[in-house]
Amino acid sequence: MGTQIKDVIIKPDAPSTLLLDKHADYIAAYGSKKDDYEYTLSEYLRMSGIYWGLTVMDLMGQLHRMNRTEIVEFIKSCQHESGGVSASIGHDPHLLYTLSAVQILCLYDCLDALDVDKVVEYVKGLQQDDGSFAGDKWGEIDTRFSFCAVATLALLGKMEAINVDKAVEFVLSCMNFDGGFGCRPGSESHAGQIYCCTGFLSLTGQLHQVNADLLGWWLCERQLPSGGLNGRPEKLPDVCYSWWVLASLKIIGKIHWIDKGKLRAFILACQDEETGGFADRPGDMVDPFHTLFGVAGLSLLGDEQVKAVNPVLCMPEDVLQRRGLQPDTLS
Amino acid sequence: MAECEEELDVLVQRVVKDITNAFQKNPNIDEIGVIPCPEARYNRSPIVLVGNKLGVESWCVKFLLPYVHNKLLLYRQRKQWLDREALVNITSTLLLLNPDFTTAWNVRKELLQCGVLCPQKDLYLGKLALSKFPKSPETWIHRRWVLQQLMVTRQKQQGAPEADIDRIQQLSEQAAQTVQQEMRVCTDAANRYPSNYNAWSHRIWVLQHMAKGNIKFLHDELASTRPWVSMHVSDHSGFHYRQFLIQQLLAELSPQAHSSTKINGAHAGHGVETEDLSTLLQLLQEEMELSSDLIKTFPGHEALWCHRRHVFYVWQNWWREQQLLSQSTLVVSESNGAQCEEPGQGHRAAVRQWRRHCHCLWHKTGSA
Repeated sequence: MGTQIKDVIIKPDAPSTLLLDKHADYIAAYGSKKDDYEYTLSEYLRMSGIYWGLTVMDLMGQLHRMNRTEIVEFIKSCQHESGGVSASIGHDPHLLYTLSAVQILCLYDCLDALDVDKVVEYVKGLQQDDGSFAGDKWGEIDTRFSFCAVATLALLGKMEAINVDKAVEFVLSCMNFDGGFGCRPGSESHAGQIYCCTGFLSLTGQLHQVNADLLGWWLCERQLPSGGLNGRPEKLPDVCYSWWVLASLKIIGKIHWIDKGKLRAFILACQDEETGGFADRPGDMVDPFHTLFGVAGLSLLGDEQVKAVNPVLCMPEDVLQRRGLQPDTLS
Repeated sequence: MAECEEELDVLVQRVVKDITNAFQKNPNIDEIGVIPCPEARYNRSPIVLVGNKLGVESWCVKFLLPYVHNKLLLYRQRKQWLDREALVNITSTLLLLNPDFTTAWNVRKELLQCGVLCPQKDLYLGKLALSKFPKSPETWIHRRWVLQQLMVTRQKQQGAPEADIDRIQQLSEQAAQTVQQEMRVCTDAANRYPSNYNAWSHRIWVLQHMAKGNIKFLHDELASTRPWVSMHVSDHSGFHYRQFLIQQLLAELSPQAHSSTKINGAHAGHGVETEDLSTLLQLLQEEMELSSDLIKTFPGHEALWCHRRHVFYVWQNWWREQQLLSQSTLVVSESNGAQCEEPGQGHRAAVRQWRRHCHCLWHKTGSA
């Protein structure tokens, strides 16, 4: 008798339709109680939290319900002398939140709220001799930061500020025998890192360097009997991997290698009918992070109630059209 | 309202003091946790120290965290001064409650740089934070920065003109102890959370930066992780670590590695090559046997089959590389004449032996 596969079981009464209004209400009300303990705990990533909330609202056609002025002012007060942007006021700058800030300002078509030249200088200054990128002045190297760097510069139209060839060389050195990518050379393949690296290679016009068949196979093996996707072998499914894995498959032209119907059913089952929002898996607590990736995943699967999302940058396609940005994908 | 604020101020200061005192009283605290306790009991500290375990009663956390959080940010924005001791105590408290608060770790980096803190303190704080938050990315990231600082300091001391043999030896031993400590921290975190990507990728980082080329250590790690993976057969990260170790050993034992300087006191020469080659073949055979045993004992585990595939690939890939190499040395030796004959011959002999072993291995594992 074989071992039971690690997976969830979707209850028959799980949500099976997309509850867009509930999700919009959830996001609109999120963070209105700023003294909340949970809110303080997550302040260290606030800029990304705002990006997640605004992007999902825009995908649902509800961006107007958010406070544009307040948010743009907030971003202005988060840009530091170095040019980098912090997650919140008084926090230290970092590439992660610099990208989130630039993404938000693209949604609002308001990039001049930042000193763009200083942002470019900050990103450029983080590139190392081997082509890799540090996350901030303290020097941690991770392929996530390679993605943040090129995504930021692509949105600003300033990719030439960095040594692209060297950056590519580093990311390719993180390719593993299974076709996947890890955080540094020699690290285990991980769906999140794979998303960052395929996104990176798309933005730098190097997708031909990916072994699409090999990587596509690893990625589609992430689909479990419940229909959900995990991030690595023998992990539980998680709605955020429905984005990292799905977007990667879309970028390399293998999205048809997963069962779309079953994935859609899994994502819908992760909704909370009472509070709105999506959780990592059915029955758990919802949060804005999983809400974005649930809705974005459904968009990639072709749901017409939601705007088209770009798989490389996780932003509405119409926003990128406005910026004149059309990252490569394989077909 | 002002009264309430003052009371809160007094309460939180007392709690932070209680935490600091607890660490002073017991420098061996090895685990932290929150004690579910919805209401404060009159005049009793929410800080509970039992043996080497430090507990914080849950009722005070929702006051404590926002208070110390905002205090640190006011300092960071130069709106309120905090002396060094206060900074140390506030960041300790904060990071034990919320170790992903990057800016708090950065404050400690600055304190380290100006000598107020020593690296060991932050390695200890990080270890404690990991006892409750074994995945915490920012804790692992800060840990790597601290280790970098330690390495640079030790290297400077070793290279200093006044450094004698004893001092150099002492520094070497300290470095080895640090590596061992990191292995323990990684194992503890791996035990606390299944397939802990951050713990295992940190472990790899330590090997890449603090134990480069240390063949004995690679072998020790293979030996020590064998029982662990056998008890965690779903842990894809644990198995990946073994693949990494094997790959490193293969890289160290390939003829190219030998053509440069000595490794761990071993001298280069094709006699040593052949001996290490058979160690390697035995190693690969043992890994395949481990894989077969686990697959038979625990049928249906994806991680086990992935591991088998990886090991096969690593072995096959290395074999192919060696074949290419032996072909090229053949060409060189033929064109250069007598001078290059020895390396070419030795290498060809090694590859022949390798082929024989491979066929043998193939037959043995074919029944798995």
